[in-house]
Amino acid sequence: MLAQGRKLKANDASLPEAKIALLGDSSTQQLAPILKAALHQRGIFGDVYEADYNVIDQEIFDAASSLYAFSPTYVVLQISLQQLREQYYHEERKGAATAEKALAQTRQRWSVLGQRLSCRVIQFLYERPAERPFGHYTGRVSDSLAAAVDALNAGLTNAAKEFPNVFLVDIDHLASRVGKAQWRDEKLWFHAKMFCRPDCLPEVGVAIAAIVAAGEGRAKKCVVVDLDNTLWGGIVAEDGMDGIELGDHGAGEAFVLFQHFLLSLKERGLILAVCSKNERDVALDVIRRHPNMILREADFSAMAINWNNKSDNLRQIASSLNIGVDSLIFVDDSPFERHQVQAALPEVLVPEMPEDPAQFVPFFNSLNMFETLSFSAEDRGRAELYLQQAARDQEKAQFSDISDYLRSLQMKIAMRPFDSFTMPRVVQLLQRSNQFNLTTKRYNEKDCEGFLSDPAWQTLAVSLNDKYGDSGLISVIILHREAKTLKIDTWLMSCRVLQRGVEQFCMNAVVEIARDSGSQEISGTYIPTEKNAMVRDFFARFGFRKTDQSLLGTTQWTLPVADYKEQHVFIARAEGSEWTAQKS
Amino acid sequence: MDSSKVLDSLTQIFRRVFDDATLLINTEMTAKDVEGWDSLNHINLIVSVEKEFGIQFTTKEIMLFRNVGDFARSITAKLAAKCP
Repeated sequence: MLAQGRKLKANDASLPEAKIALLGDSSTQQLAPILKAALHQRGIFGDVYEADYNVIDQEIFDAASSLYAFSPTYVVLQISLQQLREQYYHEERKGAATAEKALAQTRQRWSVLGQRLSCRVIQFLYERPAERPFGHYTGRVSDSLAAAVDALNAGLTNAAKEFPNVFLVDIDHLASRVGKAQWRDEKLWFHAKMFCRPDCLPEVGVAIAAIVAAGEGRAKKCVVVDLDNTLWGGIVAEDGMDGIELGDHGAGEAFVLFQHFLLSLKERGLILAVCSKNERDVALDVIRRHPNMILREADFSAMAINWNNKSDNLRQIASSLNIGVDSLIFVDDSPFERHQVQAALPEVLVPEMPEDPAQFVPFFNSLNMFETLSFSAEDRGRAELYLQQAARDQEKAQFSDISDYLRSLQMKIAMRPFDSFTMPRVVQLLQRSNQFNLTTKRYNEKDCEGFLSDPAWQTLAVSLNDKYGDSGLISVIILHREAKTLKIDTWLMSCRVLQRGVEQFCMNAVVEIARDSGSQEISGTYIPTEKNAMVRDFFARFGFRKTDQSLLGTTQWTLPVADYKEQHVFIARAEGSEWTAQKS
Repeated sequence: MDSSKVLDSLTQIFRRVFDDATLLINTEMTAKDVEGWDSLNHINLIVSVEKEFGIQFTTKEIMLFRNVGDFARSITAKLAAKCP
């Protein structure tokens, strides 16, 4: 990985870039190229700035430092147990004082970075020390180095809750996974100030890259699983429901554990789907009636149980869920199926599953696929949303006239400026939305707070509910007032609510805002990406006139407010929803 | 393991660390003679050799190696001490 990373000098493949500053109190020279290689595997070109050795505070507190000249979008704070240990041994009042000092210093770093940069901070936690002068009694001695490290890690984790831009890398977890004996070699610290052995650095690079990838909208959204020999042992068509392995002994226990793990992914907000070559009724019977199944029909948001080839089924699943094929993870025990899918759909993540089901869970954990920067109420309820959608689709089939169907849904929209309640979900949508997204600007928490404090900006968080339930926050619009023009800076929407009139309702509201604020025209930009072709004609549909088109396909649009034709929609305003004025 | 075998394995390690499939080494070679043999790659060499041969160098040793010959002799000696 080191050699790979050293070759990544220029962004030849024109990948999306991330500007990352690496600040360390230990040697960073080896991690920098490894991080570039790890990012490259995620389809991101890392423009990495490496500060000199052990000048973290100089870089952060001096407003004229090269760090700020570089203007990174991510700042990695690579702190080490070894430096902390040195401070600890020099401390008069050991232990608690060491932890308090380091915590205060780190908070100070976070807040200054937050004031001066619009960036995410990736902060290392401390490795737990090998020094245990009291043996297993060490943890009970509050002035021990081990207790100081524990207190400090807990303090940092807690403090990070107040800093939405800060993300933590659990170094001790990485060290434990590798094995502490393999992780650290003190002579490399004395000789080269390396906080771990160089062959362990890929673990660190991959962990950081996973956080950056999540921040850049590369998160996987849906796990598609096979059934036979993946969710249970054996082949149900041959072994029968009572013959498959699924239960409380042997291999059956491994499959139960794997299902529990998948269920925890679902609870964390990933969608589960089935893709299996089977007789539908036979397979469904197991899912519905087998006493030891952990995952049931309601846990799966899509099911393709048929004899078609799996790549076609995956395309079908992605389109029925309105997500990109590249946000799928495909889990299948059969190398044949995996290769078929990988060859036909290279953008799908297809892990090389271990043969032994007992290794499924540890294997998945080692992949770093499930990094997330947030966890919102919408995540918890996501699978439920897809079930509501299925109910809507069923009802839709009964109407011959689309208007009758839309009216029957009794939709209501609430629309408000961002606030502390909606912020996590807003930022999540800004990170993740790819398809219905006009400009794909990946604003972070800090940027959004900036919009709120500047009266030239108007933010809108749009929530939808109907008779089937609450769809939650499904659209984000950011407007900027410029003289007599209201500029649409950002407009994105969850594809779950396509063709319901949401964007028409929102455009009516935007025009109302323009009128109220005395704007004479509304302008907007469409920046094409690989994925947002569905909104290429967005402005044209509302009667905007194209004023410019760049070589790369970016188009500029404008519409005199007086020319706007009010869109007819079947959505009511939710009570208490007001969007004309943004409090600043 | 005799010293010519040690030198063979060492050649493979050098080729990996310096990412040069045709690199040839000899006992008189020093850091100056190999492109990219800086303090960082020195560490990578040490760690790769330790792993490959299942041995451990001391802090003093890794600071005192002057050329490939020193390296190879130390490896041979450590291997001999390991399995007499």
